[in-house]
Amino acid sequence: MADRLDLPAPDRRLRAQRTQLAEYLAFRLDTGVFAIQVDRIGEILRIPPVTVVPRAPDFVMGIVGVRGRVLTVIDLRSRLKLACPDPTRHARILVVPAGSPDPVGLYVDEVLHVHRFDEADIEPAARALGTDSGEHVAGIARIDDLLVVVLRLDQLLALGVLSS
Amino acid sequence: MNELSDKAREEFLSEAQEIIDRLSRDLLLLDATSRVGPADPDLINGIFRGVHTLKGLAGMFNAARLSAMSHELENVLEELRMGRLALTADLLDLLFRSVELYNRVLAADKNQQPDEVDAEYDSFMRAVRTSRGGREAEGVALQPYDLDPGILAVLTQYEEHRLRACVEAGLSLYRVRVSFQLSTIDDGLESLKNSLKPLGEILTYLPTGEASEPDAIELEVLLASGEGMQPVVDALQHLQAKVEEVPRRQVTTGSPAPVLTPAPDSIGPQSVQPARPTHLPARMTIAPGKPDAPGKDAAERAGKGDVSLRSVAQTVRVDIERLDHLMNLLGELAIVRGGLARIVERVRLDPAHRELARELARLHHAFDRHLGAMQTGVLEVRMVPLGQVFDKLARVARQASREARKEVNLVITGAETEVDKLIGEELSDPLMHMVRNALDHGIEAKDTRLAVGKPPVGTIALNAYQKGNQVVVEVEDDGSGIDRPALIQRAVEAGVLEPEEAADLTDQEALQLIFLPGISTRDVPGKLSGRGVGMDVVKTNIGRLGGVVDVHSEAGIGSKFTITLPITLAIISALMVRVGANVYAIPLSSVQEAVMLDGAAVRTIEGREIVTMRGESLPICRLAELFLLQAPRDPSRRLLVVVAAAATRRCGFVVDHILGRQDIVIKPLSGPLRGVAGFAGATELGDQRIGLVIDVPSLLEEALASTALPRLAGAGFHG
Repeated sequence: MADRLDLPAPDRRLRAQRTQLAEYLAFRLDTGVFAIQVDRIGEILRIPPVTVVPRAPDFVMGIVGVRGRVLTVIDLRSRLKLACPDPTRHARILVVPAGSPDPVGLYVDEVLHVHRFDEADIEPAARALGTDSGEHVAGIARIDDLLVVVLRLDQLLALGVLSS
Repeated sequence: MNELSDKAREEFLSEAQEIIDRLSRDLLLLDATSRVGPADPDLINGIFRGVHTLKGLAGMFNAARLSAMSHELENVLEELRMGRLALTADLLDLLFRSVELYNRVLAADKNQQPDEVDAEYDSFMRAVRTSRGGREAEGVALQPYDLDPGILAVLTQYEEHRLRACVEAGLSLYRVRVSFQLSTIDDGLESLKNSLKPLGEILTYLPTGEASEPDAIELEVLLASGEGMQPVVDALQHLQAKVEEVPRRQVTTGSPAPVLTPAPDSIGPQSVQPARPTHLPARMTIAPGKPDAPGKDAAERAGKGDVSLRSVAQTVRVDIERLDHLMNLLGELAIVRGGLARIVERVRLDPAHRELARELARLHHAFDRHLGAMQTGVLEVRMVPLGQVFDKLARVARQASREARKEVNLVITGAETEVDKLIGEELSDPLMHMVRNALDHGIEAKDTRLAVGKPPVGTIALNAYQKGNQVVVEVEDDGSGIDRPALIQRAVEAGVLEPEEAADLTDQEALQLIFLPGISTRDVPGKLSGRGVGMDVVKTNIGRLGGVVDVHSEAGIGSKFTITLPITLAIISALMVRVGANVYAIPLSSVQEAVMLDGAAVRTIEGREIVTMRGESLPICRLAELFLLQAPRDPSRRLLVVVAAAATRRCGFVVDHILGRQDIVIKPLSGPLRGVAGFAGATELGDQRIGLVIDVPSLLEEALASTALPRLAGAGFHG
């Protein structure tokens, strides 16, 4: 059975003071750093054996068993047209969206940190990346020297479902 | 009463649903019986009581619309059972409409939607109100019989109405006196009723207050019957009853009648409930010989309370999700069992632990057996008779036959056949479509039928039966059959079939066109069906349940659709096979045999690999290639072939190893995998890994697709 890693609990007082402030989980896909909102993530799993499903769309990595249910794992790297190196021991699956009766798993190469920043700190994607980034990119956040691509989960999932 | 718990509310909703379902069944029965003779008063009473109980429930739970509807309906039914309103086709329509509306209102309540403006509700309420209004007056006097005024005085309004109706029908009246021991009165009454029911109608029971023993009670029963004296006496011999005929006109008998104050009209409607024997003792113990109207009233009320209590007492309603949860737990246990088996085996191989190994093996064996029994038990709980679905269909068929102005008999067999609750639910929409199709496209108009020498009334048969591990449901009509040329023309016009391909189609292949999306044989879309969505949806829905649908049709004689389904979805026996590095489960219900074949025996005909087995040719399909697992093909190697079948199709699947039989819990594929063809789901293998469960019907279809047609059908099937 896959281990569950606990996330640091969000600091409610801080959030109450600045409503725009949200926590994001940063993770690595290939060499890039991406992030989605922490409260949309149900849990983070180590990678159990993945069963490949013949004839599944390319972006589906396969299926895994999680406590009695079968979870479809989506390979974000193929979705975002990145290189797909083999999983290392750092690889994880993010179960999203939190609380959904029908969640999916997002494969990531490595989970990095939880960052807290204001929505205003996210630079719109069009300005940062040029115009061809899709709806699923909310924008770019700069954390210290790091550039983090902030993703919109719903659009990202819609992207997956539409292409099936 | 907003503070009522959700649980109580749930209880109310399912109870209401149960009453509405029963109402629907009773109405169908009423519809059927009233065509051939006078309506059965017991049936009308049953319907009345149902609506009455519903009104009470709705009032308790503040369900305003349910309560208002029931109130109006109750009024109409009251008129009906009192004979002040005739049972016309329009009235029946109205009653059937109420079932639909009840279901809708109840669904809205279930989802806690606020009562919104609803045109159908308003129009229904208007229709109900206008339907009342005495169209049939009561005019028959009771003179022909010399009935004791004492008896007449104690009859309730309803009893009196029934008495008049029976007199009007020219039946003889009998007075039956019978004694019961108080301790066995329930059984005695039941036996009395069973004996008299075939002979006629029991109009009233009255205690005489003249019992010979202190712990006995004597009843006087007024019976209306078309039979002579002797059969009645014979029927009651075992009860030692005294029977006398109520003489006609002017003959005095001086029979001592009990004196009771006439029941007030307001409680009249509830006072005779022949179907519920337990009401009677309550009334009897209070009433004998004493003019005690309030006491009687109280007994009536107690009786009424009984109605709603009784129906919940017999069964426990369980949310299907809880059963799913149990099922999943059992699945986990089955996996634990697998792990245990491996340990048992390891301990057995260790000579140092012989004794321990034996004990462990014994325990494992017991665990295995009990787990199996538990699985069977939970599966049985999930089973429901198909009759539940068929009842709904009968209502649809009746409605549709009126709309299409075609008379049909719906003949149902095998309603007791059981399937998993989930399958039953999912089956109702496809079956509804098929019944409507049969009515709209299959059954011809009356004149046409007469012209070709068929009976004017069409027949639609719904047959269900179990066949091994599968359940078969057939929808058969004696209509005109499916018009193949029209079907082919449609397919060509819709661009799914090339004209040159059309000529090569066999009859059976042409019929399969009906399962393609957008094909309909009707030029003008009918009100019922014929909108060009239908059979493809039916096929998809049934495919999702792991079933197949087949069609047979003969011009001028009729059509038959056959649905073959697994009995249960939850746990199935499967043959576990390995192909490359992957493990797949093939449902055992579709596996015929597994054989080793010489690789050289495979011939290729029209691009399809075929072997001959026992004189029959069998197409074979290499799973490794179908699933693009890139296994190198070695022509000289022996092939391990699993022969699988669904309905009439058969194919041999080539696998690398057979791992054995295993009970598996099928979990659905979700998200972007939902539409992937060829897999019915996935299952846990016990070593943290997941295996895919092969969807045999869809793979068969794919494997056998050599011509354009099945490939197209496959494309339509899987979106």
